[in-house]
Amino acid sequence: MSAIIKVENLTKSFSDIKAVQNLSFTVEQGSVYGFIGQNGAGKSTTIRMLLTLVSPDVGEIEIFGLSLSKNRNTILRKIGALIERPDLYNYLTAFENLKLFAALSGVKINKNYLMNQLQQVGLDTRADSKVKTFSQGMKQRLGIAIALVHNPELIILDEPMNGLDPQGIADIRQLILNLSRQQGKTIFVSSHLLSEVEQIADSLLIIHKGEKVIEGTVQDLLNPEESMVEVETKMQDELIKGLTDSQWVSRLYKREDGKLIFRMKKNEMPAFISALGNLQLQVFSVRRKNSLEDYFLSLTTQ
Amino acid sequence: MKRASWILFLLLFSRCAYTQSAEGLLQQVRQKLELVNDYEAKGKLRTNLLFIKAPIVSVQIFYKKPNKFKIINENGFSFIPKSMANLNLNKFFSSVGDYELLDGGIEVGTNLRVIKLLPIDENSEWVLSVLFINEKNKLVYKIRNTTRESGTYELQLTYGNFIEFGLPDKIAFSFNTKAYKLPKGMTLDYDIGNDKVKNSGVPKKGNVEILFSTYKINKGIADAVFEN
Amino acid sequence: MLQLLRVELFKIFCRPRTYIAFAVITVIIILIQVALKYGGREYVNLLMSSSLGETFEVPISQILNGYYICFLIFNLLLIHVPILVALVAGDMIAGEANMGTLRLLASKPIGRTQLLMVKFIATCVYTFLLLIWVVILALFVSVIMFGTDSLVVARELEFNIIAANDVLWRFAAAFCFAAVGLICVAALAFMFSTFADNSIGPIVATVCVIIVLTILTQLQIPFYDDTIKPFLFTTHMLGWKGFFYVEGQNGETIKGSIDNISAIWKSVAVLFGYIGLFLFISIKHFKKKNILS
Repeated sequence: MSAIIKVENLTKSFSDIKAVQNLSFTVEQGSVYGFIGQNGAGKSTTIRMLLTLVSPDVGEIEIFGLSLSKNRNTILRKIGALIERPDLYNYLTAFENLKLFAALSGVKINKNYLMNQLQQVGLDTRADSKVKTFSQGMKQRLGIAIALVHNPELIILDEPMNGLDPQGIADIRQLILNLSRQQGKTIFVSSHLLSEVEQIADSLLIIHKGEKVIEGTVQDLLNPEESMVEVETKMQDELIKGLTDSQWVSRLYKREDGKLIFRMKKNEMPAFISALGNLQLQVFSVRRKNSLEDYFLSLTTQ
Repeated sequence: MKRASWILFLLLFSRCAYTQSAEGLLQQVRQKLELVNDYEAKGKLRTNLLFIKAPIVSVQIFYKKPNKFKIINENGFSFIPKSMANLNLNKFFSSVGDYELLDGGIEVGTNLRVIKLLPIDENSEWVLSVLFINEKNKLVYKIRNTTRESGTYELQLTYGNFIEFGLPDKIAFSFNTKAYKLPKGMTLDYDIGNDKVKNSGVPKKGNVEILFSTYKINKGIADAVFEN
Repeated sequence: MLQLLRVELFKIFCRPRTYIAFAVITVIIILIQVALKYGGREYVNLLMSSSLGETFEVPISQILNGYYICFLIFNLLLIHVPILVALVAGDMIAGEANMGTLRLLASKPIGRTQLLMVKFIATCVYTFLLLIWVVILALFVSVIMFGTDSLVVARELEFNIIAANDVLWRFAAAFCFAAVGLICVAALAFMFSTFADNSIGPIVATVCVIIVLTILTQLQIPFYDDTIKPFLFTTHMLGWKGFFYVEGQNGETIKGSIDNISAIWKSVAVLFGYIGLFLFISIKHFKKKNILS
């Protein structure tokens, strides 16, 4: 598999605010790449830099093996994107919006083809309705249809499940999987909710305050053998002191207010709990965090 | 003494002879004009005035005894001086009313006989008219009118093809105008920077000419033509 | 390029706001025409009598013809049409930013300069159509309502009377000149539009600039006459009137003449200069602009 997106040392500041700092990542061809971060983490700025809406202060972006700054139009011709909110021309119909963006993407306009695209996102029956009458979810689906209308090789979706109902979210997930698995498209999908992405992504990058926190395959990051164990106690210092001579102190991953987070394999947990018991300190709970959501929260919640 | 008496006699005689002749000359001029009961003329009107730029327009001029007179533009329109309404001699004589006649002698250079008319009516708008008449063909070649409201204006007549009826081929009307200036805020002019030199807004002399090409004389004209 | 232009024009003419300007112009022109139909004599009398009425017979009913009405409407409207042009031109980029569609457009495989130029050409087409609408209503409807005759043009220090058969080409030339003037305003609003993410700002800014500069143009202060006025585009926007200033010689006007054609060419050059400047700034700024809307 070859790299479709290769980003190196990407940095962007707005006045004094560092939106993205030294961000590097690689997206492989045909994969679904989850780009995760809280609101304001720098996801949208990164995506805007991938789409040449914002120019980086420092760093290089290569897409399809070409430098983005030198081959802008060639690259963008092969990218479909939904950027944040699906803001469209409200005074035009769904069909007119799709036709208009198809024309801008250089697609020869064929009514049947466009209706098929609308059908894929379940909007064929509302093709002639003005977009101003659409719900947020319908706009989102139309935005996805617009991103796909010119059959791009790389699809960039920024928060595609925003505003969708559970069924809508499931439909979009299925659509993304189909595009990836059946049509071999590369999909770069951002979200602030890990639960939305963990089921479809092949790889993940978590960004926080403009910096990469972690990157890897979902399989590695969700390795059931490796878990986070959260110990709730008010006697943190005593507990750490008590574990000083044991192997457990090296497993301490993070210290939070009232909580200590350890990283360990699942089969090590009984021995760890036993060691805690031996310390005879006041421990309110010991909890294993095994979903990516918890993992994400543990990394980013301060 | 005898010689002085003779000179005095000659002077008195000549003075007397002029007075009679001026009255008579005027009568003869008027008689000639009486030949025309009506006419319809065609001509070209030229406005020569610093602050009016106008094209030459074709005009039709109608006259009917005693004092009906009208100028109609065949194409376009023109600003005709109000005092020009009396440019027609027939109309002039029918509207002057009673007057005192003064003989002004012969104008040097033109040999035209100068006759001055003073209105008897003290309230008359018209103050003084000076006629310049050719004694040979009994035609008026120039009139200088002074009025209370419109100041002094002058009419110069040139004769040619219609001389037998006392009708001119060309009339040149000279007059004084007041200063012309409109507020710039009203006109929103495009300032091209060269008009201020030509016209500084002070009173100017103007001139309107009519060059007659045809006359239809005494063919009868309906009164309706003179109605607005 | 043509496809892009078609898309832009499609967007402009599908938007209800576009037709506000056409509706406003229709209402204003009809109101002026009706007012002059029933009160035009008083208006012309007021204008002419104060200056010429004492000396001359003023042919009011002949003056009040279709050409004169059209000239009056042009005189009144060409101060206000720029505001209507600003409504659309100021919205071209900022409006898209406000709607959130600018990021979609700018992420398409179209160069930003090309995108900007297409949008500007679309604005010019709109401006041109708006002007054609003004001509249809102001000239053709006025001619139907009031007939034709010579045209009287009242200036500060002189009156020009133009023969009826010498008028139409002047309106055509004035129309072309006015188009350049309005495109200059469109370019200004367009430039402001690239700096904003909300269309109100560029529209208001353009209107303010036009008002201030028009006041400066009309102020009769010698200091401004020689220093500032020659450089204001609002001064040169009045150049369309130059086509109605005729040359006179020996008591007649020269058919087809223009009093000072070099002044008009100079104004055209100045206006094109401003259009170029505004476009240059727009492109320079927009090419580097971070689209965050």
